[in-house]
Amino acid sequence: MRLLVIEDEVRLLRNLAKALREEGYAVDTAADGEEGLYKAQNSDYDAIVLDVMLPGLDGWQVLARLRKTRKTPVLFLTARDTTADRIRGLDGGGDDYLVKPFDLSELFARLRALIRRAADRPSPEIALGEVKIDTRARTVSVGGQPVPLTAKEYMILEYLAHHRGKVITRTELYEHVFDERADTMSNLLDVHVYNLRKKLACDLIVTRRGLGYCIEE
Amino acid sequence: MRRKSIRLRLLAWFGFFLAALVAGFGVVAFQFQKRADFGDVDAALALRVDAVSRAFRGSEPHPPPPPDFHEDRHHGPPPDFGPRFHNRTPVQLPDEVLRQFEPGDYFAVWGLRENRLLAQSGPEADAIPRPTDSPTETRLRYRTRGSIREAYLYTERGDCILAGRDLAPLQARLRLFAGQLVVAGVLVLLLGLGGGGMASRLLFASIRRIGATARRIADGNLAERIPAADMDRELGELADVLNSTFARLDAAFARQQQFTADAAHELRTPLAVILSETQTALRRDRAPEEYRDSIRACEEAAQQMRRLSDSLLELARLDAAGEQGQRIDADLAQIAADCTAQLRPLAAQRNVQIETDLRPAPLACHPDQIARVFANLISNALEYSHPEGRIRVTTGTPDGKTTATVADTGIGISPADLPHVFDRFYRTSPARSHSAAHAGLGLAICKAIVETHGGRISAASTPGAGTIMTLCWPAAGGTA
Repeated sequence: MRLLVIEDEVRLLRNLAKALREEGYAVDTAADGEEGLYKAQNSDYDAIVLDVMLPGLDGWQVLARLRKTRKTPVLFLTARDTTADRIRGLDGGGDDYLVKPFDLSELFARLRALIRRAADRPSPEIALGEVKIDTRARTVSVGGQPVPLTAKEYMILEYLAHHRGKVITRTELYEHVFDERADTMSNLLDVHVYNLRKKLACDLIVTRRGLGYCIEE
Repeated sequence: MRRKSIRLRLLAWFGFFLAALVAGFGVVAFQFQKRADFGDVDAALALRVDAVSRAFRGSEPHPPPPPDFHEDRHHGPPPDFGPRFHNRTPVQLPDEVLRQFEPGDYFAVWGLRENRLLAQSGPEADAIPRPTDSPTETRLRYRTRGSIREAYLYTERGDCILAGRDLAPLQARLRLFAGQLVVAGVLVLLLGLGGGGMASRLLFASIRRIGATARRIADGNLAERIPAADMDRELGELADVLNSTFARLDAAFARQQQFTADAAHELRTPLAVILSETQTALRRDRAPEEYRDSIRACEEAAQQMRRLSDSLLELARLDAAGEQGQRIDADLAQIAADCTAQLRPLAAQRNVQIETDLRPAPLACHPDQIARVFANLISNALEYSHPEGRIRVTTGTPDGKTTATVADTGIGISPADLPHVFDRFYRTSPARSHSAAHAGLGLAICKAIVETHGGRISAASTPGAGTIMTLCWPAAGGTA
């Protein structure tokens, strides 16, 4: 899962990126509206955390322009808390609204909910035969036995599971699992998928040659 | 509290005056009618007396009636009346005369020499008392007995001729007339009150509308205005005055609201940093450096909050109290010199030169507050100066006004931002973007301090070339 955080308070931006990465997300950052809009338009994010009071383009302008081309879920994170502001944020195309100061755990929960809804999978638990994924605790079990996964392995599994039934190209998968800081080769994906298959000990993930990966319904 | 209704009072006064007017009119009309009717009666009685008198004179041999008087003499008095002049018997009046008498009319003729009644008509004739005033003049006189009006005349021949009429029918007619007047008056009064009531309802409906709107505004809907366009001129003017007051209130309220919202926003951002830093740090065990980083970020945020709360408190004090404590006579030159000296090391670090031209500029003030102004202005100038830039601080009394300026050769302020630089929380974005150290209150505090001291602060700037801030006190403000 790859996120974009647009926030002009650099300390908060740094900290949010760190906390979200520790949660297992791939995180890109932008410190002003222009940069944020550019990144949001040019990458396929699973969700965007957007501040309203930004130098240059403000959050509302960023969202208005973004909505012309993309329907990426957007969570407003702002100190503006009047009802009018919330309504403006939501009616302007925002998907959720969180007022500063906030609790990290709530931000995480809202982001998880946003990503689930965007993938049209309302339940936080995904059961794929023997394999069960709990997106809240980010744990995976096979036949009741917990399986320890690395962050990247978990991300790949969760992304494929959210989009099960669809073939996910390697490029798409790479984009959603690695952030802008990553300079790894994309064949690292194959290594992660190989390890994942080994740990799950089943042929849940199917390789469509020349197309990508898929978890069948 | 129950208050008297001005509308009811107006209506009461209106009704009172209308009633007085109608009553006065009715009384006058009645009097006119009564006078006219009584005049008619008197005139008729005079005619009767005259007719009776002529009839009696006709019974005398002298003077003979004029030849053209009554062609047909068959109604004339009998010729054999003459010889009985000194021994007259009661005479019968000719029908022609009698026909003039209406029912209720009567006459009586007394011979004064004979001292008896010579002629009479009407059933009450016996009961008619003879006039008793002195028969010296042959003038028609009138008297009123009860409901009876009588006219009488002493003739030259020594007779007393009286004609009378019972006024009862006339008085009944007048009473009827008075009744009609009262009914008409009451109708006019009711119509008038109804019309007045409607007019006042219209008037007070407008006033009530103004009141209702004002109440809604007082209840918090500050954006609402009284619809003055469809009001009459007088009330429209009132509505305009109220509307402009509401507009100013609204603007002041909006400014206050904006200030509070901005203050909350400025406090929330460092709070968000602290919360998110601490919560992140506590999620797992970390290396000491990571903890140090987190604690440092929290400290920065806390310092930012402290600066902000200090500034807010200072502004609040300046707003509320204006000033406290005794002003002392001070010299801006001395204060500016101290501030410049303190900031020179910082300026040197940034490779900015500070020039001064400090002439005596006396001012009764709180020196530490004024020092705060200089410090803020010079720090600002430093912050927006390029390396190798210059800052020039002057004080003096040109034109007798205590004046100080702080000029820099920095990036300047755009014309769009210039009118707002003294606004609270105003940040010229994006060029002078958000550094955590500044919440946008420094210049607002300068303005509040200078204005508390009775002076003015103004800014002039050329983008790219520099800014000059000017403090100026009117001549009276100084103690020179």
